[in-house]
Amino acid sequence: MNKYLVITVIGADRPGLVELLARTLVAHNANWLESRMANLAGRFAGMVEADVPEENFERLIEALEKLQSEGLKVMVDSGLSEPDASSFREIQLELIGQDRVGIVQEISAALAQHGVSIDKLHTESESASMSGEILFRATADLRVPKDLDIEKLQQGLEVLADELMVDIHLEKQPLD
Amino acid sequence: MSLSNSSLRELENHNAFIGRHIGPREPDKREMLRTLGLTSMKELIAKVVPASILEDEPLDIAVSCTEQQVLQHLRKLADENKVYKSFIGMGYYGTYTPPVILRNVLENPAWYTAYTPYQPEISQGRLEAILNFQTMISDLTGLDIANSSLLDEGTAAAEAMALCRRMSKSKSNTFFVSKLCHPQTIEVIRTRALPMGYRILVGDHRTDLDGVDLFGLLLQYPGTDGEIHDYQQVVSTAHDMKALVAVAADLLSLTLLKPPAEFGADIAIGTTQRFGVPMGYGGPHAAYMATRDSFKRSLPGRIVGVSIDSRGDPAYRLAMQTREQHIRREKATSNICTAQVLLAVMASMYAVYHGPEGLKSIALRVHRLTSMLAEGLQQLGFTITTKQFFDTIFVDTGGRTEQLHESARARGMNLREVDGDSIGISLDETSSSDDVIALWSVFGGDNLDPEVIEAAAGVRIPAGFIRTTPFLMHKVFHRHRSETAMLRYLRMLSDKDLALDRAMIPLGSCTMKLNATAEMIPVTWPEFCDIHPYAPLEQAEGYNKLIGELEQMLCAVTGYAAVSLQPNAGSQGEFAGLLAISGYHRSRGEEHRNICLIPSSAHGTNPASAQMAGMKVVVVSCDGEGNIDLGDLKSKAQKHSDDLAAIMITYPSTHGVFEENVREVCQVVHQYGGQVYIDGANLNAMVGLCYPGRFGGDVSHLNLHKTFSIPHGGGGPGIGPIGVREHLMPFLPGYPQRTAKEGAVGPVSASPWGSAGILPISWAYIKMMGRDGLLEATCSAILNANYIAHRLHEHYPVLYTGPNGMVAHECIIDLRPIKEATGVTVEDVAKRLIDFGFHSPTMSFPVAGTLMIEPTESESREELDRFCDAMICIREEIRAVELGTLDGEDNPLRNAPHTISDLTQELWKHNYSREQAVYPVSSLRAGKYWSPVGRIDNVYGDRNLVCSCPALSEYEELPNE
Repeated sequence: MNKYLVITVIGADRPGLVELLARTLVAHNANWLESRMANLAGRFAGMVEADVPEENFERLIEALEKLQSEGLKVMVDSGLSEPDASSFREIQLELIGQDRVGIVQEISAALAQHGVSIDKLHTESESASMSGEILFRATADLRVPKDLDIEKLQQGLEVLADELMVDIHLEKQPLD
Repeated sequence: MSLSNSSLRELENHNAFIGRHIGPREPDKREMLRTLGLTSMKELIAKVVPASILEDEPLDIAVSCTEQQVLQHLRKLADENKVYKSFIGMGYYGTYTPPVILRNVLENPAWYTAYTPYQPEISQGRLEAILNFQTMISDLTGLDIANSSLLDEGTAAAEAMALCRRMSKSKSNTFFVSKLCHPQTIEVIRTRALPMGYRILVGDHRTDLDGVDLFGLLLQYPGTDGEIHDYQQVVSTAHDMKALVAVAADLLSLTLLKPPAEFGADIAIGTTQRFGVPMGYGGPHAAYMATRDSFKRSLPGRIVGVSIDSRGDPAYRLAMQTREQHIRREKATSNICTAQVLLAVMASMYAVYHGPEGLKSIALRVHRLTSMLAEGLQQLGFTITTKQFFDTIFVDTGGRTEQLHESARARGMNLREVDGDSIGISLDETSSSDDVIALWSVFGGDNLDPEVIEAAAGVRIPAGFIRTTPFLMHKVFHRHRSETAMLRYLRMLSDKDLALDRAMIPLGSCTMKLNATAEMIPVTWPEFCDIHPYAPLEQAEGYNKLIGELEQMLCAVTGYAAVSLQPNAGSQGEFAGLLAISGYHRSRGEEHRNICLIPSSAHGTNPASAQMAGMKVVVVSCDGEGNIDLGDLKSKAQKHSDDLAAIMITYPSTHGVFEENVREVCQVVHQYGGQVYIDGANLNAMVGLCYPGRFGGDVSHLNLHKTFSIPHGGGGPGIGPIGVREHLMPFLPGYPQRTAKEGAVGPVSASPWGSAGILPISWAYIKMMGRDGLLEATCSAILNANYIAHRLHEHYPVLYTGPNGMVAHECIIDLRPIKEATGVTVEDVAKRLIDFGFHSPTMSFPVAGTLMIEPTESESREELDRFCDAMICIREEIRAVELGTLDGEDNPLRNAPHTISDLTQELWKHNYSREQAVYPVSSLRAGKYWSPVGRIDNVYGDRNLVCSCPALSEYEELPNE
């Protein structure tokens, strides 16, 4: 019987961090299921979804905690059951509008209100072609309740600003 | 010693215009070349243009002639046009351009040489005029929001169809077009529907809607036959099946008739031509579109909105640009880029000039005369098949159709040719009771008494259709009734703006060259203005000759076999060019070819056009030097070889470089069965040096408003003719309503030669420059750009150059490292340039965080130096921010532009002096452009969208004008 866990790691970025983490998992026969990693302003953060044979679980936790000495802060969520895929569907969101303070917070609040969870969120701001105004762009992979009215979600986002253009793809497409 | 050794030929100076068009004098050019380490123009060109495409042969164009000669020549051509009184209608009507508008808008460089108002601070005048336009449209149609104009009624109808598709919840693929729509509108819609895969059903809205499933409908109000129908029922039937309803409405009639919104229309479109804009043999005119507030995100074209500036005062800007092609590319609501701003300004000013009561009085007069005409014809025994009408009737000719047309033409009048049994007659603002008497006599009535007939002729608009809602209530439509007031209003607005008559507009890719006065003068001659697009061809001999010659000259310049002048904007040229490619593939049984390769550096209009033409966009990457990545191109062309339709490239590239491998790029695409579309936005760098039709292009559009001197008009008109190689000739756009040319591809514009009325500008430009002048213009444009790149490169990195370290006709300077180091943005630099009296270069295109500078050949060395000095001075200010001698937030860059209000505030709270704020260089003391508003808050406008004149209460707070 395998135990399911989600590991969150944070630390100053340096080469070999992912390898270190992977080595620790392999050493305990843990299975690396899925992960998200990012480096932002020299800080490294990662989340790994894994499962591990029940008998190795305690030792794995200990080993992960020891990584603290290598400069990695580790948090482990265990005892979770795997998410129930049947009640959700995956969609993609693309959004462009005027950048302003608080826009990410407003968007995530609007998503939460519709019971949507964010799998992946990529945001950037850039100077708009021709007018030079600062635009906010976001692309996101979302998990939404199966019965969610997509149009309502779109409207819920669009009311955040008059110039917000929201595209929702129901089919999963590779993000750029 | 003799007084002169010059020959008479030299003294006649046939080349005089070349030196008027080109800025730098000969000694300047030598000095500028020396600065670049070069000795001759030839040496410069050899370093810039790849040897593989550079041609030696002189252009196949006649030598230059003088301004006086060209005006005489055009006078002769004009005299070959026969101006008949037009009663044809079909969306084109006689109108009187109020002389105060003619001279102070249409003939005024302060209006016609301005650019699209992307820099709102220096565009407040025309933004206000466009806001007036939007308010006028929204008032007259009764709908919530209007855009700032579209190209013509036909394309506006096609855009309405696309809007219906986006917003309708119906799953149907069918769009219904009433057979009472103008015939050219139906043709343009068919052309646009085909690549999108929409089915078009043309029929009678009263009988043909049973059992059909639709996503939208287009109705004409009043119908093309003049009939005013009650559309209430059909609108509700449509809404029941989740279809949306677009109504093509005549603007003048709406001063008397119930507005479309009141019978439930979702969209209204139409032309504003009869609001003081001459017919011009088809254009240019401003079309309009209005819709519900909830559809605003899908509204195509530009929209002006109200925001606030840095002091919190109201200020105008372009709103909702996130919908547009330059941001959204193939996801944009439309490929529309250029609108018809100059003409929209004219139409809005016509409403300002006449006011609601004046417009209504014109409409009532037109209607009275039409009722009298109908009454008289009835008394003469003719059947008027139109029962309820505003200004148009169809008459049953009883088999005498041809004879009646002949009789009308013998009196200098054109009636509408409908079919063998009926004739259409439309009256307009210029019609008089004498005209009605003359029309009666065409139908054999020489003894009718107009006074008796007037008494008998009632109102032919049924009571239920009479407008009750007031319109144009805003005070701008009430306070400029005297000519003095009007004159000053126009002057007050244009004084707020920065156009070419004040300073260089170094916008990269936009080619803001001289629009010479001699080129502009013929545009307002009645022989060019007052010809209806569907007048008999033999009455437009002068036009036909001019069009033929211009087509031939453009073929010579591009190396193509044929040219179509129909597309009336660059975006439409792109669409027409891609249709030609699709048509060609279809003719070879390869209609499945639908992949369009587009380099990542392309202008956003390219992918938007490809999408409209039913193609799928595949992006080809660029290498570190900004060139098309050949490896990526080859692998994508090969991968899609079975369904490769085309590549769209811009040459010289949008990065401002002549790519060395352009021939190879074209060969690769041809090898895999694709056609090569060369976007002619930068053709001005090639004229006389190389020819897209010879180095691999199959089709190109040209921007006559860039390369061939048509002014930008503050955001239109533009003309985007396409040139094609021989094998694509059968796939040029067809001519609406002209049987002369039936093609495999339908018309893309509502009139056969698009914006024919402004073609004399480009014709005159080419004639006056001649073979040698055109080449000299190209070389001088390249010299000017390289001179600027050379003067600035120590201060700002130049992003892309060719293998010899040279740029083409424009250069991109990179501000990203500056932003990284100091926080100063490209927007800060652009707005600071306003304090120096300059329009900013193009911002963040094609690369975000950069400025693209295109000086054109028309700017003198002195002006180039003034600009470079300003840029260098700004660089010093940036350095001061970097060194900490200027504050990171409170500095002249971040606070730019500085207004007189800023300067005169009681307490100067900044860390730099007033002098540095407004006179950063001492030469500004002799003459300075003052920005009327501070920096505009885009976010405020975004959160508080207002797209018509601000409410009266807000206006009251403004300082009295």
